[in-house]
Amino acid sequence: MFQDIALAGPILLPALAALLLLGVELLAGGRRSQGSFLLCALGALVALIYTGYFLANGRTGLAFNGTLNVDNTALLIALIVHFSALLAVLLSRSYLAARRDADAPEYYSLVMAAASGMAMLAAANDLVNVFLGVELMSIPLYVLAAIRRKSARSVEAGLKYLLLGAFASAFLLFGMGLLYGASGSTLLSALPAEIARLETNGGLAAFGVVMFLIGVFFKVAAVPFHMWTPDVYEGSPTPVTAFMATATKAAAFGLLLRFTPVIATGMGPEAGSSMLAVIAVLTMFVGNLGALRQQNLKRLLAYSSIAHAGYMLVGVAAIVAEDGGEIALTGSSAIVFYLGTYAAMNLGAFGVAVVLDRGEGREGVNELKGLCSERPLLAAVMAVFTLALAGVPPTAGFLGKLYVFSCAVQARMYALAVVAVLASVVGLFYYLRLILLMYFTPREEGAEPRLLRTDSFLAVASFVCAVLVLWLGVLPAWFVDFVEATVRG
Amino acid sequence: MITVVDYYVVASILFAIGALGFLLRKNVLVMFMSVELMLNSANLVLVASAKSFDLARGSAFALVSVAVAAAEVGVGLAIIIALFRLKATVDAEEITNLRG
Repeated sequence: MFQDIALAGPILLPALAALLLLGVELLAGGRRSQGSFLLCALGALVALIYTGYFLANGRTGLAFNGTLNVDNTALLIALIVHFSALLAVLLSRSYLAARRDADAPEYYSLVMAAASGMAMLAAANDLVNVFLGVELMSIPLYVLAAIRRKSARSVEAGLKYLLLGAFASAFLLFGMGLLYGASGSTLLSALPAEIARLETNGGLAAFGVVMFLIGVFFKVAAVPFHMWTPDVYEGSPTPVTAFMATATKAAAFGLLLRFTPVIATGMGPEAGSSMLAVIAVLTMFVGNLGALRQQNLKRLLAYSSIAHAGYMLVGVAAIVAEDGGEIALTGSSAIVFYLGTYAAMNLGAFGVAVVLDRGEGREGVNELKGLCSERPLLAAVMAVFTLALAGVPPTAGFLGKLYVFSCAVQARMYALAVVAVLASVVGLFYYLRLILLMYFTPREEGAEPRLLRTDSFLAVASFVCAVLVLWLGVLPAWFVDFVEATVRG
Repeated sequence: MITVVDYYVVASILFAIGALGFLLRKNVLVMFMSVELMLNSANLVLVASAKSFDLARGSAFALVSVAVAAAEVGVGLAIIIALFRLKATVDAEEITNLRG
């Protein structure tokens, strides 16, 4: 029993922090202080170190009758989730200081609750736990999106997220019901064998897999289930958007990786991988083409995050195509590597967005004009994140793309790999536009003076992200080896 | 003779009604109710399957999902009330601050 609780630490620690924070806020009786910020950052840090310790010492295994499978992939995903939570909390402080209406007592508690759900989703090995993880992740995020309840934009973002999130959950749950009906089991690891054994049910499993995947596609913002993303990302408080964009993706792709054997058995490797490949291609192009015409930095990053979900789906399609074997391992480690680097560069870019934030609906890309001459360091940091998101060497973004696309080649899906490279080329345009604005476009005459909102926590967070992005890009060997070695177990 | 497949058919019809309601209706509260119908059709699948396998797991799952759906409803209604206070409407077509 104690062993089980220890293994579930990456899930339980943030949950504990969430409860503690609620209690502290209750006792503080509305007097706002730095206490909950520090407590929350500490909670995320402890969860991060705990997960890292388990990972480094290979403390993995099944917990609670096999309903949680805390393997290395789950721990790596939890590590990315807790890293994102910590950095989002660090970004929050200066944002909340500027926006008093977002500074609700439950803000930090909700961040920790969502992190707990994400870690649970990554480790879930039972459909019940998958559902609980998805909801524990989503419900706090609905509230966080709408936390500025006097702001029509924020509430609208929360409402759209809630309605479409609940719609997606219904698909997910219906799919789970059908999978249970096709197998008589709720254990994810037992599903493929049981589905194959009860083959009489015919299309039931395939139908279940499709419904389940629709639910997951909503969560990762894959086309055609991406409509909510730009609105929700724009309307939510910026640090919350950063957290949503990185940690939710990590958790949902962790679930998808664990679900690949079920896709391959339920739909057949060819049908499953073809469907995933089509969705991946659509997602990459809709994301990149949508971003081209955006004037709002947060909306631009939202479309960019859609495109990145597409790149990662290329890897998932490759894994399903081969159904087990070598590619399952290389594919998983490529996607986990991508998720880790994406977390660093995206959180960094959103950090800069927090600094430049002028207020609602004015998060325009024009704020970047002439940034280089006024704030060379900020411009340089943003340039690093932008190049990494575009996938330009020597940043980590390039290597992430390289690994994921080479999985498609390994699975002999050459056309998919070529299309993915073409999509990244389209993506180059809008990322380079940001760089051009920063370095080669002077600021307009008579423009309002900049309001740079920053503090030391935000600076540290952006610096850590920039260093990670460059370090993983220039000297990736240790991280790649680490991820590969741990995913292989 | 009613078999488990009949339950699946009924559940699918309920799910389709819910999905169509969600996509076609403009009242946010009605959209939310449609989602609840979809969730309950999923519960029907779970319970019917549990009965056909004679395993309690599916029924327990349905109980868990009912509890979670209640939490979702709580948050959902709170957000809808916050919206109504700001805009004095629950019409999805009038909620258009975010466009681009």
